[in-house]
Amino acid sequence: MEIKVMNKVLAANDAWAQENRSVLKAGNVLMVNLIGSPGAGKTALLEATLDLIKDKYKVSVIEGDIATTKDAERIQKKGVAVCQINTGTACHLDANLVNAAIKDLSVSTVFDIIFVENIGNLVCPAEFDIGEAAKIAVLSVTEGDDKIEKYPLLFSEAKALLITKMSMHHLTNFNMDEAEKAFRKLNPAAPIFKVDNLKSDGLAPWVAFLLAMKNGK
Amino acid sequence: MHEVSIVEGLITQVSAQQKERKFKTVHEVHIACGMYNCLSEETLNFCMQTVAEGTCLAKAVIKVRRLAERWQCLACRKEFFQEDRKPLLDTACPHCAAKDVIPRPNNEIYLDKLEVD
Ligand SMILES: Nc1nc2c(ncn2[C@@H]2O[C@H](COP(=O)(O)OP(=O)(O)OP(=O)(O)O)[C@@H](O)[C@H]2O)c(=O)[nH]1
Ligand SMILES: [Mg+2]
Ligand SMILES: [Zn+2]
Repeated sequence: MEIKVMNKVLAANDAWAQENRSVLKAGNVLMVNLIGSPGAGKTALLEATLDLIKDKYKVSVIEGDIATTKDAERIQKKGVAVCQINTGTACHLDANLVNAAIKDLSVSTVFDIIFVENIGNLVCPAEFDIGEAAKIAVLSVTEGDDKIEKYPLLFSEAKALLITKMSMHHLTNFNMDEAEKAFRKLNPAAPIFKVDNLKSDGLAPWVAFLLAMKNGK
Repeated sequence: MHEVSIVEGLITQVSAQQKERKFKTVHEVHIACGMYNCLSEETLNFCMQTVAEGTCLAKAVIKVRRLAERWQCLACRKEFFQEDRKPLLDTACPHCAAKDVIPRPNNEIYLDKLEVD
């Protein structure tokens, strides 16, 4: 016998994501979900971004990591509240895990912005809504411009693309035109920010974009 | 291995169906998803075998169907569907031949149907 269903498989996750979204909305908290390959520069981007905004805004970070606390320790050095989630074997954060982290962080403070650093992976994290206001794609020039077309789900969902390690661009064959063309196909509206995290170059437009989102513009 | 989470989602959904419909065994689980979802049928079946032991899904085979990719033409505004994934920059509008077309994918993963007894 055949039974026709046509329900979303991740309905349970989506319900948690909606719960997160409504909690964050009630507190007027912006949550962004940083996704990129291992080593793309997600933590370095956070470090550089925190330097620019942590004195004016109440910010915190949820660090997704399979096993270690290395990234959380880097963030802690910035004097910013951080909640570590170790996923064990899972290659992505899901909305239920993030719900616990939000609760944990929100006990004493209402934050303006919560950054989530997802597990380094271009595939799995893109499949899961965690209740974020925006998924942000982080791609470094050393990975190659073809990654946009090879992993289209993330790049089609992202509200912005950060191209990192720009100081190394001239050492690579990363074709910026091709990258932009492919990204525009998948995602006509999202802005592209070209940055170098270690030199803190090109970050001002990205920060302006974040704050505009925060202020609901 | 987000396939584990997908399989857990499937088991929840199927258990709910089982309560309603009172079937004993699931033979096939059909999933439908968008062109951009990275779902390996092999990995899903492997996860199912390890997770579903002792349930009505123990012998079930998972089959994945890709939903046709939805595109929109920016020149004539019409929509069209593409069954196979072609290189991004090679797709043209079947109505007006314009190359100014963008994908409008549906990236959801659905439990489409079950074959049960
Ligand atoms: N030159 C340069 N190096 C960078 C930049 N961003 C990151 N790096 C370096 O690249 C390496 C990886 O950076 P991380 O910030 O740890 O990358 P990640 O994406 O957080 O990595 P995972 O958390 O392991 O997925 C480090 O050695 C960084 O110092 C950049 O913009 N320019
Ligand atoms: Mg990191
Ligand atoms: Zn057309």
